[in-house]
Amino acid sequence: MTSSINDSVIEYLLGTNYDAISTTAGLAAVFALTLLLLQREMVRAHGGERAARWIGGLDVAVLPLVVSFGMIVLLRLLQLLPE
Amino acid sequence: MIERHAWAAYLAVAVAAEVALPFNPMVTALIDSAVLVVVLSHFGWAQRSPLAIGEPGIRLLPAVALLPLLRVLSITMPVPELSPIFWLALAAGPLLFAVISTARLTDIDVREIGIGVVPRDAWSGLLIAASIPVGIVLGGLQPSFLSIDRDAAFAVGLAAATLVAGSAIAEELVFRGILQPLMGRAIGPLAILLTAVVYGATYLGSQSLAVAGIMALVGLAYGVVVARSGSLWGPLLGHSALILAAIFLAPIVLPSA
Repeated sequence: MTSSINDSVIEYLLGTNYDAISTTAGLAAVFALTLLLLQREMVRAHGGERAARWIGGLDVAVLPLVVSFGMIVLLRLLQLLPE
Repeated sequence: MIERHAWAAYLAVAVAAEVALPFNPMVTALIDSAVLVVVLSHFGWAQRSPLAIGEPGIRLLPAVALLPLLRVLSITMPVPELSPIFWLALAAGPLLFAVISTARLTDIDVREIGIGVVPRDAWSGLLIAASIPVGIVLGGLQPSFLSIDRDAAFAVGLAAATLVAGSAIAEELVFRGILQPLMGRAIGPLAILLTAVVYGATYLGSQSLAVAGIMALVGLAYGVVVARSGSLWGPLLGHSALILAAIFLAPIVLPSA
């Protein structure tokens, strides 16, 4: 009964191997993060008076995606650890 | 001209991704990841032009990005080993950070968001009261997916707090707090209707058209009350009452739920 975690998301996450999730949806999120970070560094290197606002716009998604990336990596590492 | 209205195209693609969610969440995640990058890159690119910076359609772009971000986080953040109730908190935490970043970036203050205004109209009170029966109906239409030990007070309290923070507060801040006022600057009162439609679309993942339709109507009512009272507190408390009624009251009132 929530918009973020709903039946479709739960069915997908519980019914799919985490390897498959992390190499599709997870990889897409990591790729998006990479593009945003790349753009962020290019803008920062170029500088200019409007660079701060441009970077601010990118930062809307950068930190949340960094947290998401950390979660994906952490879960993959935990999978590799011996039981 | 095209640049001013590009937000509508991005929003349409994000809504289309929501339509795909019940069929293939992976496709939704791929589309939303791409939309997220394109929308924020567009916002940044538009900063080159002094004329575009003050343009409402450009300032709306970071708010539009919250929708695909919500979905990407909801699919990539959950830990399968944990109970879905904790997934809400995991997805909502980074999203709330994005809400704060968007508010700062678009110069929208707490008063415009509606948090700094105490509601004094009867409509806000009525909205909160009406949300409880609506929540019970929704709980009857779609039984709860959350496995909560209803006999343990601590578990119930923790679940209730997570639902309020992860669902009611996060959704109201994104849709009625940020998206609706920024869209209102671009298209006027029509923003209330459009925000409600987008909000209803995010519930298509519930795999119930009835639930999505009711939530669109709920979003419309919340949007109207925010526009009239200037306060977000009515929808915040109303949504909290709705979700708690759906999860905790519906199974008692409607045993079939």
